[in-house]
Amino acid sequence: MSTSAAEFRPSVLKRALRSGGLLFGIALVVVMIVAAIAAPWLAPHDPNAQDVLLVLTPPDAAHLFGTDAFGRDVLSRVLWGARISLYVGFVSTLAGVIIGTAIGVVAGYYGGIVDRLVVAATDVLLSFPQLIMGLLLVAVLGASLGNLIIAIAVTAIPAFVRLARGSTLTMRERDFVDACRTLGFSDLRIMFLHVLPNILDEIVVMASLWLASAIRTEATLAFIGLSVPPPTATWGGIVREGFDNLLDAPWMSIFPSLAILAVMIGLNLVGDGLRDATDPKGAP
Amino acid sequence: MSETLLSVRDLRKIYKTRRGWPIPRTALVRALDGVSFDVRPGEALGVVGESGCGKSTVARVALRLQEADGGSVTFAGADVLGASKSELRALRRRMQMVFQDPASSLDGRQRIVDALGEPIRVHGIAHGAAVRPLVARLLDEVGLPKSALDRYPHEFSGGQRQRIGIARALALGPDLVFADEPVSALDVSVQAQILKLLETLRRERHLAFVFISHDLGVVRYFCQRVVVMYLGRVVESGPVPEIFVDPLHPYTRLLKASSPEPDPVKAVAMTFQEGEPPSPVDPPKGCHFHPRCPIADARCRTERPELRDFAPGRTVACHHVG
Repeated sequence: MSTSAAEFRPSVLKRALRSGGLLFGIALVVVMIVAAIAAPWLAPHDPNAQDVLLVLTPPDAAHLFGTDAFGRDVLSRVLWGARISLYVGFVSTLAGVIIGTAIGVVAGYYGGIVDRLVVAATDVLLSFPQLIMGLLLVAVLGASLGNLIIAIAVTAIPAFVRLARGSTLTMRERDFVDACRTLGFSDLRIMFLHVLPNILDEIVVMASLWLASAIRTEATLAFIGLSVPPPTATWGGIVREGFDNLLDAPWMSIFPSLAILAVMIGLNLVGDGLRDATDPKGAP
Repeated sequence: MSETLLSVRDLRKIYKTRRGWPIPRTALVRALDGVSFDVRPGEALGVVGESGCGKSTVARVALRLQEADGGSVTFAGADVLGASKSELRALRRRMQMVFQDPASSLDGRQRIVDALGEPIRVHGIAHGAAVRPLVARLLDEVGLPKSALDRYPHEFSGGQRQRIGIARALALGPDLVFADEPVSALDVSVQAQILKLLETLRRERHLAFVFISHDLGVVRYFCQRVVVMYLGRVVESGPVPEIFVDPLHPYTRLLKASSPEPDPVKAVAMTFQEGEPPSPVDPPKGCHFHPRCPIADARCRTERPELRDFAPGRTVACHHVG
């Protein structure tokens, strides 16, 4: 029998639960998300409260991550920064996935001239490195939360167009799409109730990897000053602020960097774990 | 006897392939080169031929899964190829298809009750709680238990999946079913069960079939009439068993010889040249069959034989017959 989605479906969960990396990654990401949501209660200080007497204090009991050049508590800023960084990452990836997948499925299903135009457009967009693309868009649109999300979403769209289109082309070869047409189903119904559920595995795997990359892009843009304007804390922004005193007060940059690193590792473990769990040939 | 359910006339389908570098050349593949046949209500018509002869394309074009490049398809007086979207929707209820590979023809993410209930709901035959008993009755008709309702396709064997595929084709209550090699992917023992099921359905529902197959034994068992195709053309048509007892076209004789009867007394005569059918990209001139034909002469190499009536109900396209 063919290696269709149907063949391996019931064991996906079992295989996922056996994968230590996946569970660890999920735990890491969940901890980060909870910390971000609970920032107002977890943060020991106001992230924007300045204190001239406590400028550049090394980590101690009162300020676990130390303080920055304005005497602000770095731990509080990292926690509050997680809200912006994760929010931007999630919303922009979600937007990119939804728009990109919709375009990709339609292009792959109909083929023809629509498909060729879409492929040409994505090829052009994909030829820009993700960061350059984001940089360009933020520079043109202006640095604000909304524009940042739009810029990062736009960089994600072509990747998902390509993935969804490719998977749709494979699904279109399967007889059940013809069976649906013979039964008189509308194209919309076939595309989004029959093709989409069968390619969702791959989309989800790639989305988790792109989420990591979106958060990294946001951090990078913040690092070069193209994110939400100060004093609002974002991870990349905190790293940047700490850069001026990197040798005297390394804690200012180290802790937000570690937060970024932890999310990257977590999301990549999730992505790899999901891919292994849903790939029938890569059974561990 | 004279009424016709499906009438296919001079059906044409041409595929274009572009090959070559740096200057691609366009080659035309005539998958269907003027195919005509009729199907009567409640009749099983076999379409036989080697792979690549266009027999599957007939079904796909007649069901508008692909658009034709010429000819006409008339179903119960209605023009199929020119039907509008809403007309086509109405026609779909009466014309269905059973696919060769039951694993690929079912959506692995749908439970059986959803897969079979969806066409019922989409076409407004029943809604809500009324769908489930209808699906259960369909499953019963194809010999599957009620417990199959809430299971997924991967939980069934190949034969059971093909039964589900047949039940889905029956869901809208069609008059005609195109069966594209419906038993070729199954074990021989399962083939017989599925064929018996189809035969029962044909009698009880007065269902017509266009039964596409390369297996003469199966066609001989199931069909009342047969159309033999070779490289996109009909070379012979006639009733079973005459067409097998006394084949007229040399190609039909070749098919018969390659599918010997299991009788130890009869010797198997293999007087034909073996070999593959020529490429449909560049078919031979004249009669398509002449390179493999033992009685071909100069006329066969240049002039295309037309399909002529030979006897009542029998037609053949060969210069040397009649």
